[in-house]
Parts: sequence; C-alpha cells; structure tokens
Amino acid sequence: MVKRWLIVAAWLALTPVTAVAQEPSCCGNLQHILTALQREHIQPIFNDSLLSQRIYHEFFFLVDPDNLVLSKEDIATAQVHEYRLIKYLMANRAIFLTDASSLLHTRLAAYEQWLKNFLTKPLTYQASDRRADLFTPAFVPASALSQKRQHYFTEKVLAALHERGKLALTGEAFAQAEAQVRAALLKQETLRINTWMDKEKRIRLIQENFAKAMAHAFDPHSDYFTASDEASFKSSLSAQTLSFGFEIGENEVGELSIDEIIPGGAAWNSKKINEGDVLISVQTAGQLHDLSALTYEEVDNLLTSPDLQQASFTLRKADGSLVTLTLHKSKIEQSENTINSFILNGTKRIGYISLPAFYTNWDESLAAGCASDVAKELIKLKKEKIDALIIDLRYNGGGSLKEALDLAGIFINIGPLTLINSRQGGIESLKDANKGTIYDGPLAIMVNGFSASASEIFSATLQDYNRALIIGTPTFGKATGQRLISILEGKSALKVTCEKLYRLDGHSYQGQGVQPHITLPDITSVIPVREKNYRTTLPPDSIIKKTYYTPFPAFPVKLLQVGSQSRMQQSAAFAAMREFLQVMAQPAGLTPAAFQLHEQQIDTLHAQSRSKVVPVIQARTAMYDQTVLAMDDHWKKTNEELARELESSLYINEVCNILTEYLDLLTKK
Amino acid sequence: MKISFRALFTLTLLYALPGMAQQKSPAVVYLETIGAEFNGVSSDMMSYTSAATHGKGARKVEKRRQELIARIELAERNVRKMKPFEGDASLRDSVVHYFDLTHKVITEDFDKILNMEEIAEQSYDAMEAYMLAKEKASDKLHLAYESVDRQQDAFIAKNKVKVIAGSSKLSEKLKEAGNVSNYYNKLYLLFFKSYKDEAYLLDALGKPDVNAKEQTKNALLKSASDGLSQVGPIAAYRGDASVKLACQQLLSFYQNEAQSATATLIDFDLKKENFEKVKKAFEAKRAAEQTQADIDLYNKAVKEFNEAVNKVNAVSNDLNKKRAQLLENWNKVSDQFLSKHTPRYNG
Repeated sequence: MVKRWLIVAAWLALTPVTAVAQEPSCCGNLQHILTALQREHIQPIFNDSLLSQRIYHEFFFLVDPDNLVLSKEDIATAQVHEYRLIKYLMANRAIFLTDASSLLHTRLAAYEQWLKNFLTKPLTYQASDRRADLFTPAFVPASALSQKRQHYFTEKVLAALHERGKLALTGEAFAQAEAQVRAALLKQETLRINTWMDKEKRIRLIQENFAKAMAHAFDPHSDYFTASDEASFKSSLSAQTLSFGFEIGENEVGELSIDEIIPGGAAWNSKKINEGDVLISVQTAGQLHDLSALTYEEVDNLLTSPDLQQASFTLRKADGSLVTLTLHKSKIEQSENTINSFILNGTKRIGYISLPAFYTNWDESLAAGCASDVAKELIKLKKEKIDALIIDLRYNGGGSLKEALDLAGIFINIGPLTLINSRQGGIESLKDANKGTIYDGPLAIMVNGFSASASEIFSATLQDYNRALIIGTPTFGKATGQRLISILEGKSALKVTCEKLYRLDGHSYQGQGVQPHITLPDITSVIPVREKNYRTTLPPDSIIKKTYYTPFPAFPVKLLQVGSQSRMQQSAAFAAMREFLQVMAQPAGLTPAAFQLHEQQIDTLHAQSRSKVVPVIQARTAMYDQTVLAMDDHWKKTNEELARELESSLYINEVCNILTEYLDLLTKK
Repeated sequence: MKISFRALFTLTLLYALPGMAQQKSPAVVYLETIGAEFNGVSSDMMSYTSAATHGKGARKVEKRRQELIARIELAERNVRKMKPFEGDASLRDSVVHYFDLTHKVITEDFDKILNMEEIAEQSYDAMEAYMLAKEKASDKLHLAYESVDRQQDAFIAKNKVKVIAGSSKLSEKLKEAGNVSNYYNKLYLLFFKSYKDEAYLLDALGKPDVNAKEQTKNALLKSASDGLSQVGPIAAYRGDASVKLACQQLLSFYQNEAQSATATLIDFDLKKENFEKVKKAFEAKRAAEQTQADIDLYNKAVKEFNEAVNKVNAVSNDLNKKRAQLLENWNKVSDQFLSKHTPRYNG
C-alpha cells in the first residue's frame, strides 16, 4: 500500500499541473427529477440513448416553439450530444446546457437583428406567400428560415391590423397603422428575447426547459412545474380562486389594460377601477414593477402568483389622470369553471348542462366539485320534468378522474366504470362509488376533438353501457392519468403520467379517442391537434380483466344517423359550416387584400352557420333560478347571451332534433 | 344462521334408514358408520342453532359453534379413514368432500372454495360480496350433498340394501329449524338491503356532495319500494305475522324517508346556495342601485331560508327518533320469533 502511494506522488511531482477549464456543476436537481420520473411513470424509459434523443428534440421545441430562432443546421451543431444527455446528467456534466446556452445567445442576437431589420421597415406583400407550416411545427433549413420568419410575422401584422379594423385602410393611413403594429410587435418580441439574453435568466430558463423536456420525453402530458406553474395549474381546475378581481389584456397600442372587472371582487369593491384603465406599475412588498418592461405573460404570472396576496396598483384613467390604490386578493368564482344549465323548449322539453372542465376542490375542504354541481342542476331540471338531457363536453379538456367517475355514477346504478393500470396499484376496475342514479331518461353527450381525458372516461363509460348517445367529433385520445408530486423540498412539482385507462372490454381509446355514434363536423375535424399528433405520445394497448356489468339496450344508431345526415344535407347552416371548415383548413394569403378576404370569408360563413339555422328550440334558465336572476343583473345578462347563443347554434339544434327523433321512436315502441 | 339448513336437514335422511339395523350385512354396516357421523354433526348443528335462537349468552353460542366445527372435522377424519367398500371409494369420497366443504362454509373460509376476486368484481361493496359468497358457497354445498345422495343411491342399488323410509326426532327438529330460518331470512334480506342503503344515505348526508345524497336517496327509495311489494305476499308463519309486520314498518319508514324527508334535506342545499347567491348579488349592488323591488326580494329570500332551516332541523330529529324506535322493535321481534319457533335441543 505504501509503495503505491509513493508511485502516485512521484507521478504527480513530475507532471506539470496546468489550469483546466471546469464545466459548472449542474445536475443534482435534474438527476432528482429523472429518478422521480422513472420511479413514478407508468411506462418509464430506461434506455439511455432513446431517452436522451427524445429529451434532445423536446428541448429544442420547448426553447423555440415556433421554430423561428434556430435552423435545422443549428440543431445539428449540437448533435454530438443527442444520445449522451443521460450520461452527462449522471456524470454531473453541464456541457450540453452550456453549449445550448451559447447557441441560443448567438442565435437570439441574430434573430433580434433580423426582427429589427424586418419590423422597422414597411412590409412587402407577395400574393403567392402563404404559411407552409400552419399546423405542423418543424425546424427548417437555414436557407428557408428567413422566409419562414417573414411569413410568420407578416401574418401576425395582418392579424393585428384586422383585429383593430385597419386592414381595409390604404395609403398613408394604412402605412401609419402598419407602423404602429410593427412597433408593438417588435417591442413584445424584444422583451421576450431580453429575458433570454440575460445570462442568469437564460441559464435558469435552460435548466427549466431541460427539466420540462425530460418530462415530455416520457410522454406529452408529463411536465415539470415551478411553484408558480403548479399554482396556476391547480387554480385552473378549481371552482374558486384568490384574485384581485380583474382580467388584463392589451389595448390597441400594446399597453396592458383592464379588460374585465369581476363583480364582487376586490377591484369591483374598490370603486376606483374601470374597464379600459391602463396599468402602469405594480408595487409588491419591496419591489416596484414597471409594467411597460414586462411581457403580458410575466405580468399575468406576477398577479396570479399564490405568494402575492396584496399589491399597490398605479393606473392611468381614460382622462389621463393617474390613480394609485391597494388591493387585497379575495375569493371569486372561476367563470370558466362553473356550469350552466338551461331548459330547451321545442316539441320536447330538453335539459342542457354545459361543463367546461372536471373541476374539483384540491384542498378537499367542505366544498364539493363539479359532479355535485351537476347534480344540483339536474335536480332543478327534473323539477320541470324534462324529456331528455344534453351534457355538453365540447372543449372540456378534462380534470379530476374522481369527478368524472362520480358524474358517470349519476347515470349508472352500480357497476364498474373504467379499468385502470397504475404504476402503484396495477390493474383494477374502478367502480361507481354511489349506488343509485339521479336521472334515468334519454341522454346525449356532446363531444369534440378538444374533449379530453376525464371527458373521455365519462363518454366512453356511458357509451359502453349504452346509456348515452355520443354526438360530435372523435374526442382527443388521451387515455392516461397524471398526478402531481412535490419534489425538491416542495420548491417544484412534477406532473407525471402514472396510469393508463381502458374501456370495460380492456381496449384503449389512446390516440384515436372515443368515436361518436353520430358525427357533426366541426373545427376539430380539420385541425390536427389531437393526442396522436404529439411526438412522444404513448401508443395504444389493451389489457385483460373480467368485468361484470349489464349494458342497456343498444340505441337505434343507424336510424338516427340517417335522420341526422339527411337534415344536415338539407341545412343551409351546415352547408355554410362545411365551407367555413374548408376555408379554416387553408392558410390565408399574406397580402392585406387576401388576408382580409380570408377573414371575411371566415366571418361570413361563421355568421351564416348561425343566421341560417332554423331554430327548433327556445332556451331559458330553470324556474328554480329565477329569484337569483331577478337580483343578479350581471348573471342575468350573461345567461341571456348564452341562451341566445344556444338557440342559434346549429349543433345544439341538431342534437335536439336527434333526441326528439329518438323520443318519438321510443313512443312508437 | 351460518349454514344452509337445506342440506343438513336432508343429511339426516341418510341416517334414518330404519329396517337396516336388522340386517347387519357389511354394506349396511358401512352405511350406518357413515350415517353415525352425519347424525353427530346434525346433533351439534341443532344444539348450536338452539343456543343461538334461545337467548343463550354469546360465549355459550360460540362454544356450541366451536363444538360443531370440531365435530365436522372429526366426521371428515373418520370417514376418510374408512376403506373403500369392495374397491369402490365413490361414496366415501363424496362424503369426505361434503364434510370438507361444510367445514369451509361454517368457518367462512370462502377463499378456498370460491374465486373471491370475481365475487368482489360482481359486488357493489364488501357486504354484498360476503352475502354473494355465502349464497354461492351454499349452492356448492348443496351440489356436494346431491353428489352424496347419488352415490348413496348407487351404493344401495349395487349392494341390494333394503331401505325403509322414516325419520327421527332430530331430523324433524332440523326440518323445522330450516323452515323457520328460511322464512326469517327471506324477510331479513328484504329489510337488510334497505338498511344498508339507508346507511349509505346517512353517510352521504354528512358530506357536501349533492350527487351522493341524491343517488343514495333514490337507491333507498327503490330498494324500500321493491321490498314492500315483495313482503306483501309473504304469509304469516304459523299464524305469526310479527316479523312480517316489523319488516313492513321499517320498509315504509325507509320509503317515506327517501321520498319526502330526505328530499327536503337535499332541497335545503339548493335553497341555501340560492339564498347565498341572492345575498351576494344584493350586497354587491351599490346603495344607489338597490331598488325597493330588490329589497323586498331580499327580505323574502331571508324569510324563506329561515323557514327552510327550521323545517330541516325538525325533519332530521323526527327521522332519528322514528328510526331508533323501529330498529329496536325489529331486533326485539326477531329474537322473539326465532326463540318461539325454532325447536329447542340440548344434544
């Protein structure tokens, strides 16, 4: 032993010691995140090369989601790292993160220069120009990057001008309007770029995006959350949230302004804030934030942060005067997360409930979730002896699995509802928690390509039981469940896909979604934004598990399909809708005239798809709610607007037609 | 009752073969040996049943149960030790299988004879799974007995044993105990289904989920209404309609509880939410915006809400009182019925 030490000491004495550049040590947190993912994920990836490759590609799509900063060749310069990221991580080497930081710094500087060149001069419009990548993000060769950017920003300028009603202007007036929009866009983009140009912020953002890329590499719904991300996520699925009671937006000249004031909230009660007031600055404990130096997202994050309970706001009123006041956050109903119910009166009386999300109460306090709220609405509708019921889940992106099962249980007496394979529990059947039903009459569920996750569990279950007619377009195709786990001593969270869901026969709707009994084409028929379009989506599979349940008799689907198709063929409203969808699927021409024409066509066809509807229903609020309506002017106004929208919706009218036809068939039996 | 009387009663027939005693042929001796084991088990079964239904203390009842279990184990061992009769083990094996199954049923060792995972899948909850398991176990036991019966018939035919039909006092008592048990169980199951459904309802009423409250209320309404329609045609037992009447009273109570009383309680949740919305909307209005109509509407909402609160408290108290009375009556009547009609037997 002693001899060996001597040899080593001699060798050291002979070899000159030179200064070696050290990579900053990086990766303790990232290692922790990787371990958590591999421990919790339902389909973990242990093949280092495959995982590395996926992280590599996801990372670049995260840091440059519109593929405007980097070219294919830029990504190729870092290709030496493509299969080695896990090795670096485990060896605590920051080489990829360092290289990515340098690459982004250089390319962002070039991008900023390009933007300045492009957006400080009047645009040149070419009749043949169109965006080539309307729905499919992809990095392009360097030779094509400039054109891609041109198309992107030309479209943005034209869209902003259209929004401000200035697209039809000509000559000097147009030039002035275009200049204003270009300036606002440049300011916005520069603010975003500046965040990345600051070295410290850039390193933090790169680490955060790398962590997100790791999660996305496993599947598109796993994610890494900072504390603020987590709070926003939970808030988006709650019925109530703490808020200052106003929504912000950007006015015509790109200033942050008050878009809406929520009645009963802190801003409302202050009596000093009005819609249209411009937000100048916000003073939080120890820090004054100049809002002109922040992006919309940064301001939104600041104001919705759970750590912020009160702040002092300086606003500019319509008359130019400045006002400063302090507001404390208070609880408000999340209007996106409350349900609406109506009676649709036609030849039959049909109840209608729309559910925007499967919200719940994360803190499990005494307040219940959406299943309980639907139950209340159903009790009110039943008092009016409805003949049938519609539950509208279009654009409902999901939420709580428990709420979805509780909601399904409202229509099913007892039995299994879905099969689940979870990392923690293996394969089991999830059953109806509550014996009994609330409503036993005919039921239709409206879905579309944005009905996802919990919406799909609910629809698939009721379809398997033959309990509901599913009407609309195929659903999103997400048959996985996630849970939030706290990591890094509570400073961050991981949303991990820890379970897969299956129908009662063991098959999965992963990727393809729940297929409706009757199809009514809508925007999701033409826009490819469903589960199967994600790069790292999990493939569908099946399981074997014996279940015992008694489905109801099958619906006369063929008969109802024929009836619906016949009505749609004869309907001018549906003809307008079909044309509208064709136009939406095509990119707009990138000249003011072509863009305006495209937008006008869209607006006209969309309006015709409403105005040409031959309504078969009149919508009103349930009698039970009349007292509240009489007292709450805001709610009354919102409800009246919603009622008129329902009456003029070609989808709602057609679903009512289908249900009426079904009820008539039942009477004949 | 922990075992189906159906099979055990008919077991004694096997033993009751008078006339065979005069001919002590080997075949008869073989049959009598087996018959003696059945007789032993039947005797202990009757002792246990008698103790359970005639007000003996829990310790004594448990003692009788343990004696029964031990006797079944002994019977199985004794029959298993018997040699096949002239090379034919069919009768012996069917009897061993029967005793083995009986033991598992008495000790509720259902895992060994049933696929409990499948039973759980078919059941709403643990109680339903248990009752389904008991029912399926009893069916298996009956099949096992039928096998014994077939083997006995085959043995008698093959060995030309002369059989004279008859019965003993024990078999008569077992038959009577079986009739009482079947009658009582029919009514008990109808009561118990609603009793369980009410338990779920009461649990739901203590939580905020309106869906759980309304669903369990409707489930109780259905089971109580179905129960009442099934109880109606059941006749009195030897002129004793006490259990039937107690069952009907409870089911009517459950039906009323679901139909009107609980509906009032659940409606209160909606009334409360409505009132809170009216109050919030009223208070959100600036003083100058509050019209006389608003003030009148608000005062009306306050009055209606206070009335609803009082009504809810009265309804809850009334339900609790009635429930306690009817359950006490059911337990008393059940004990009296079983004690009166189940034969006594001291083994």
